[in-house]
Amino acid sequence: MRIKFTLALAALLSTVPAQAQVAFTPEPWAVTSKPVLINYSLPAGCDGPTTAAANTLNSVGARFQITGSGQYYTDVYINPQGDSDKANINIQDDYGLASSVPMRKIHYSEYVGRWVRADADIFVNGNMLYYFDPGEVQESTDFYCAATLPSGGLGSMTDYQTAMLHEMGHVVGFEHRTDSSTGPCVMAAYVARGTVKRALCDDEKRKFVAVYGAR
Amino acid sequence: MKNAIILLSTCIIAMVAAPASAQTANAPSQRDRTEAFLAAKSRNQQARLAALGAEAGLGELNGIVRAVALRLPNPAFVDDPGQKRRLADAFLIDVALELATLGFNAGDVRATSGDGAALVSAAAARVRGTANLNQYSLLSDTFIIGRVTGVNTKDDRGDGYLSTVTFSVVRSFSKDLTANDVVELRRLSGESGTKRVGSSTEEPLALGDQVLLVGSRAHYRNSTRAGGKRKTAVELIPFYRVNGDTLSPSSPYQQPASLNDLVAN
Repeated sequence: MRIKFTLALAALLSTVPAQAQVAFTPEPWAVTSKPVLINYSLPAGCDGPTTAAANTLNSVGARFQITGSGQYYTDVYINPQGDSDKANINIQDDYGLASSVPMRKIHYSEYVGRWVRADADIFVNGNMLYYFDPGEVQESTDFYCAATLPSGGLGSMTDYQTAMLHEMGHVVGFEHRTDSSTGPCVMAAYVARGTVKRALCDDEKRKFVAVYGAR
Repeated sequence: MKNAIILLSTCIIAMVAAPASAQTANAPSQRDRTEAFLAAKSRNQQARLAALGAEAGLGELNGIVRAVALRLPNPAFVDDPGQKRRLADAFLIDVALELATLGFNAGDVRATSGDGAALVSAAAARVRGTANLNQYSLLSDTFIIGRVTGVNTKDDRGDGYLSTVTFSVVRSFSKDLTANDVVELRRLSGESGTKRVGSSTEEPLALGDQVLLVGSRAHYRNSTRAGGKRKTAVELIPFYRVNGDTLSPSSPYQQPASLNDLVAN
């Protein structure tokens, strides 16, 4: 009898449409908002794209919002392995990074009967901004920090706002898409250089609201 | 008065209906920001130097780095010539520190092609985040195709990493590693007590997965002082998944690569 039931269930499952291909961690924030603080040392030109990325997420209409009080900090560089500043989403330089990536999110969850996201920060490779080498155009993965895109395209540069929106997606709980898509969705597992993805796909928007509820 | 009341009402409606807005205010000047970057960079370099110790021979490495014609930083948003000079100096120190952290001494560097120029250029590209796969291969001492044989996500050894992925070497591009050798990869993400850490650049790995690992055991030893002689590495770049000849990126910022291209080099 059990075998028959299992087979029947398998047959049923095979007719179910493919699952949504945007993944979400089962550790969402327990609060409804977090302020974003920008490290004092990051270039001024990158503030606008950071704000725009936060506002893009906020405009989806989920209950969880990224707010903007207390915008800058300078005296504390958070240790990525021992971050105790749980009040804010810190945008900070990634010193001494063992893995050479342009940007990454590191989050901390605490077990309080269930796993709850307690802190999340975005680490930016500030070397790509301050060690900018105008001679290495062909190989450069340097960030492009501006609202308006260049008429000739980004070439091989990484759009800061696209990257920030992707990492903020991780901050609220998104994981990489599982459909191996390179676009146009912002949570794609792979973003080609020069690609601009400054908005969420519809299934990403739906997932965000479904997890946190609508405002 | 009527206008004021209407305006106030409008504000209340906007506060209720509009999404929260992350806005910038009281923005510091770029000059102050650059100073903050340089100050933090200096602290970071001193900490790295202290971790390396005198035996790293950083003075000699600095000399070698400065003898190579590297392109120096020249960001358009920094207009103070003094700050630009200090950025260039910080960059060159970072390159020397990176070489030492990756386990290279002055003799090692001089022995490579172009009297060390290729290696120094590769380290400079890594510092700037622009290195390509071939440059990473020059810097790596743990360059393998490995099959995952173990995943321990609760492995806090007090070195700042919380998990370990164990690989059996399938193919080695490193001289001191051969097939079936065991390499451990330490990762930030994992659990310790009631704390769980996740990193967006550390995609989960499962038993049997085959990946191209471009790592460094020296970097792990020299930045944690906890590695001993174990074959324990950290990633220099996030791994590539191996599917036949195709190397699929595991991070959104990596570029696709081919195993054939790699072998050809």
